[in-house]
Amino acid sequence: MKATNIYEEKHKWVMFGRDPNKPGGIIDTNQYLVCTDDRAIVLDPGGIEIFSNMLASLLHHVSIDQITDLFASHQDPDIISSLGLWDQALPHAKLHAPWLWEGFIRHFGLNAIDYVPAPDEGGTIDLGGLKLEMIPAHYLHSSGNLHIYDPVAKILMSGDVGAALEPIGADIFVEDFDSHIDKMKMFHQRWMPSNRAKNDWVARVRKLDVKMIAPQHGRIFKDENVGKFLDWFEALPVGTAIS
Amino acid sequence: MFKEAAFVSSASMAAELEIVAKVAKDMSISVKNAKAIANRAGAKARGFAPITDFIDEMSIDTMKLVSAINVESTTLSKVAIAELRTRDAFSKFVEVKSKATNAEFISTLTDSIEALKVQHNEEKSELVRYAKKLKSLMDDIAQKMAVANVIVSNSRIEAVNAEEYRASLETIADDIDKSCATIRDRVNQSFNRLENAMDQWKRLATYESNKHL
Repeated sequence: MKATNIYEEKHKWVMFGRDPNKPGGIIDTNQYLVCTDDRAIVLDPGGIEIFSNMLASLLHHVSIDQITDLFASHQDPDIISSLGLWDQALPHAKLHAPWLWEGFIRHFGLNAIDYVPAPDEGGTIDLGGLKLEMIPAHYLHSSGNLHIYDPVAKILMSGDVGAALEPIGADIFVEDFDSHIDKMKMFHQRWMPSNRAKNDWVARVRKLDVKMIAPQHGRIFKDENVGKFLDWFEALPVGTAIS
Repeated sequence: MFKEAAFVSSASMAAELEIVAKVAKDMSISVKNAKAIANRAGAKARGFAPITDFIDEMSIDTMKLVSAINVESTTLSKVAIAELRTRDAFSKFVEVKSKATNAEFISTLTDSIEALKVQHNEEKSELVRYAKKLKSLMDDIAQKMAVANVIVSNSRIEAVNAEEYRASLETIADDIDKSCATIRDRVNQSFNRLENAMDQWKRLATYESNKHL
């Protein structure tokens, strides 16, 4: 599994993905680690099929005891079906996830980890002084959906928003926005159900100081591509399965 | 010969034996009918009364045993699933260890692996304990059915002397015989399932011990 430091100053963001050893037939996913000197959180830790590669990769960056928190943007299996295994690995950790999905996510196996239900309006995850904000992204695509904004690194982990379907060897960052559109258009139009929800999210994100949008599939948008993405997404009609 | 997974075998036993409880209940009703007929027959069916008393008691005991088996097999099934999940987690953790030999923080996984190993061993011991208990309960039912066979044969001999009541008593003896056969068959099926599960757990333990896991 490829690990890429996408931000490194007082704290660090590492993206994990593009795993050439993942089993065939499952969608490639990006997992993110945010770590301070003594605490770490894994954002959208991934499915059960990639667990061993993910944990093996994480241990190059942090110790097992340092991982105190997990975050699940929503309930999908590619986001959090590995929970039963994390529950064995991190019995003292907390899982931050939308309140709406608690009864559902627990089906993945949750005995030891503490489920911290995040309210619809979002909230803050305090990672030993580093405050990560949970930003509402409901109906994008899941009906209870949150993103993570780091106001220090100015990174927005945007779950399925900004996702693209690409081959395993794809670059980490979007270089040419226009040529990237084809890889993400269908994904957004088909998976995102609500134009109203989409526009609400765009307006909310425009108020934040964002230097990077880091989705759970595909490439990361940075600098001027952040604005280009917001403009493109705002203009895109979604929910197209209903004509 | 069963080919199903051990946790499926353990989960199937309770369902299989539920039918035994129903058959035992039907048997108890048949015996009560036999008792009524024997009372009417008076001296002609004198030898029948103690037989019906015995079968009645046996059917009640069988129902109690099935109820106990139900509780034990449900617990066994839960432990089997927990063991399966722990085994899966353990193998994933061992995989992580082999994949990340050069990772700076790989040693921090050692405690988690050890804790899982302890948990897995506890669950394996529990599996053996519950499986033995179940086996013994099933043995009890099998023994009762063997005795019932003899008793039913005796009841047929007694029925011969019951003159005009003979046909009714023979029909009841046939019903009880059939019920016993059904119970024997179901208990055998469950027993085979349990043996299959125990065999898989045993082979797994041997494999793990050879691999020094």
